[in-house]
Amino acid sequence: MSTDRTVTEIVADCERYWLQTRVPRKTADEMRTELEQHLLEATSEGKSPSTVVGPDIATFAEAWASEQRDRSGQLPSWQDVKSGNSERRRNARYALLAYVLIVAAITALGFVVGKGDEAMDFEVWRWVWTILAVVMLIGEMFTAGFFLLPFGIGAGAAALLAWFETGLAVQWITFFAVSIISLLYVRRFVHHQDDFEPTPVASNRFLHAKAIVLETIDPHAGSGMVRMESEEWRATSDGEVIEAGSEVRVERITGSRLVVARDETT
Amino acid sequence: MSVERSSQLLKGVLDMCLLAIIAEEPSYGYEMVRKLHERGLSLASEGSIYPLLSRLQRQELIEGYLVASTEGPRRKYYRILPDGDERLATWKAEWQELTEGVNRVLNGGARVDR
Repeated sequence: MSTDRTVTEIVADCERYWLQTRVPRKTADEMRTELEQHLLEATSEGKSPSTVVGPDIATFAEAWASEQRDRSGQLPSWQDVKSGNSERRRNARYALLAYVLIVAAITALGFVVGKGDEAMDFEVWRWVWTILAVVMLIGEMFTAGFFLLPFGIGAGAAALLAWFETGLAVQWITFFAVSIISLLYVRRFVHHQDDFEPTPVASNRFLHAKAIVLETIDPHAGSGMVRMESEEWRATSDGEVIEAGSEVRVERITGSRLVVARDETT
Repeated sequence: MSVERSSQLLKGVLDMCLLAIIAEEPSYGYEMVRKLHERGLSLASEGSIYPLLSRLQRQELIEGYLVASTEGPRRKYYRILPDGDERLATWKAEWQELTEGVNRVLNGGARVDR
């Protein structure tokens, strides 16, 4: 049933936002139960779920969550949570930590193994590092994510030291340090790659576009309809009543509604 | 009165109204909205009551408890705590004083010191 799906979507979106904005899990569970029960009761009496959450679901979710947080600090926005950006950033931090730990473990292992083998002279280490660097750099060409490149650069730096017959400990420490520094530098490019806006899909393709008001937009009454090209959409505004026939511009999208403002350019 | 003005006025007293409803008998969120609407406060937005209920709970004026439901998810009921009873009495007295003052201003009367 479409109403049930809408209730489920609203509850799931709110819960995801609460959890990602540091509302304790137990509290978020209770809030979810309460919201779900309220929406189901409202829909069983013929109300729409959007009447309960109001014209802006982000404001609704934040008003509730703000009463539950103990700590302050920067929080992801509703749009960040909806688009998965905050989750991607968190995963990137975990990936970085895992990467540092892996490089540290390899360095420690290599140092211990190398130290115990007095027979391995500089000649051997020169080739070990050089081959490692070449393998990593070639591997990087066939994989995504700049994961092997920092290792390759680190191994290259260590190979250089081996050619100058610098001590083994210094070679491994250099491998570790250069790999981590390279990783941090390379991540800037990965980050920039993520900055490109994805092609807008679904209702997002209407962002910042013009529309004509078909039915007067009154956020207090919960009414409003606009026409975008050949499609009709439910619409609301940030508090302003906008009469039918007015030209508006789409500011953002909340749930299934377009949030519009008067188009001042006309 | 305009919708916007009524909403603004209601915003300042909605927590008091919710506390008064809970003081009558333990209630759950949707029930409170229904009671508010039945008593003429149809502008009480459903989305605004939960942050207020959370705040009242944090201030230890009310407490929530879950009750199993035969239909749908569990319901969270709220009941008033002793501090809530005291606070409601204070708020009622303050409201009485405020409305009397506003009425006198609107009707052109003078203050009577008691």
